[in-house]
Amino acid sequence: MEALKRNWLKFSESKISVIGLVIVSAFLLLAIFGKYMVPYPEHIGSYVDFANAGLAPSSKHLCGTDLMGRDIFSRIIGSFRNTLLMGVIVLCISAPVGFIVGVIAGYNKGKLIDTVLMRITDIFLAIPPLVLALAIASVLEPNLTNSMLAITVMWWPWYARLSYGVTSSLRSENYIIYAELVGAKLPHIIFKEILPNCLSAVLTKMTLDMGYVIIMGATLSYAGLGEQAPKPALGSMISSGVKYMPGQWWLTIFPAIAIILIVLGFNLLGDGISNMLGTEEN
Amino acid sequence: MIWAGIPPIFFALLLGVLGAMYNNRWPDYIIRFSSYIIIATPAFVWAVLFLLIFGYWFPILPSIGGRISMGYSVPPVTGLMVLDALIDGQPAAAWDAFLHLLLPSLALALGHTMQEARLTRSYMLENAGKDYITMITSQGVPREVINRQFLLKPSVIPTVSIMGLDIAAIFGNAFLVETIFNWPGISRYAMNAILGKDINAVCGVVLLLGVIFILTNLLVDIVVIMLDPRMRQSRSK
Repeated sequence: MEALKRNWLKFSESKISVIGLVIVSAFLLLAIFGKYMVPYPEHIGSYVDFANAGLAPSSKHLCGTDLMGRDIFSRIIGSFRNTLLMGVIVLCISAPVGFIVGVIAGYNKGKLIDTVLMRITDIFLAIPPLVLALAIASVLEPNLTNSMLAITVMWWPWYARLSYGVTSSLRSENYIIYAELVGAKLPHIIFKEILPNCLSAVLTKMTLDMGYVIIMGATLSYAGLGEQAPKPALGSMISSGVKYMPGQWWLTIFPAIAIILIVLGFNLLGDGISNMLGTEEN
Repeated sequence: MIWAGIPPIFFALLLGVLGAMYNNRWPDYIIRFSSYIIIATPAFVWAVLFLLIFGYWFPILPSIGGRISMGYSVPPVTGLMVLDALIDGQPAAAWDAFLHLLLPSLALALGHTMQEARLTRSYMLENAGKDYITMITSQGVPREVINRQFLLKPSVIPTVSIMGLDIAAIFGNAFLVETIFNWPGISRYAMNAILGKDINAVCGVVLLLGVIFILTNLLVDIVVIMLDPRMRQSRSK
């Protein structure tokens, strides 16, 4: 409790990371309960109301309506759940996979398995990530699950590299050598001795990566490889609005602002957390 | 596409140095605050916003359609439109081709520029607290000379190696930005192949971009070794 309070004091030192925390909490709240809070919940799915199509922003429709007559504000909030799901699932799969690969390679540093695992990692790192993700997603059926898969495939090598670096420097520490001497099993060494030392680095990277994963997901969805219509996704809302741009600018501008705000929130929060953990180490 | 790699090199360093020199005064605040928002904006959103702002609301820059306006004919020599026009002695055509380059490259480069500016700033500030800077300051060396000769170089080296990695993101984002600006490049070709499920073409482009990326990083490593005497020493051992 005392440690929590001290961390909070350190975190709230910088006002800008508190702003990030506020944005992220609002986003999480809207992602979970948004469906029950929006003014027009039925507009989130397939719904047609041509009488109100293409209306400019007004007090009735905060962000205007699209060409099917659906309220854009409701659709933006409705897409938050998938945006959040994208970030959480990608990171929750790629971080443990990368961690295990990195730890096994780093623990057996210099042996054959180290070479094999890290060269495989290098192959994934050698191809620009978004290019690979676009290529993978294009081979598979275009939907949300496959775009998550495509991003996960290119995301784990970074965690492998991170935990490889930490592990190979811990490898020669005395407490690891003693644990081996008393006959500790490999899982014990990995999870009880090495994991606690990697944890703060991995967690910091996860919060910092959240924004990038969301950008990546929006980019795939913009290219038409993410969540398919009529379900809302921020990227595909922008891409479908581009064609009607000078006249009906609200089709693109408001989803774009939503992406910028969400990513900004996660980046500010991540910076705050990495500052907090960084100063604690010193 | 490659042009987008050039503006960050200059502007990132310039902004980073400015931010460090005016640490915690208003230019620093403006650069830091705007960098947060600019980094949070995906490249394709920049492309769309530029199209809206400069294409429709203030149509001062050519935004839609290819590499050069109709009416200019430039014989291909190097394949780079601006250079070809200059070689052929058509400054007007070169300027026109340059204006066509401006928005797509900016859309691709903005986020990285600000990211690298932030890195340069934080490395500058980190190095400014070191003993050797304190020593030359106490010897009465002017501030500008310290910044230029002693502080800039060690702070730039880590930024340069990050720039090599950022090339990868530029390649990826070019897929959408080239499509939005109708730029006839390899990424638009690949994008059409992706949408048409032409898997052989996709594989070819991915492989080619991978090779270019590795070569770029080799180049960056060589530059870093040239800049950093410590790296040279560890090499020769």
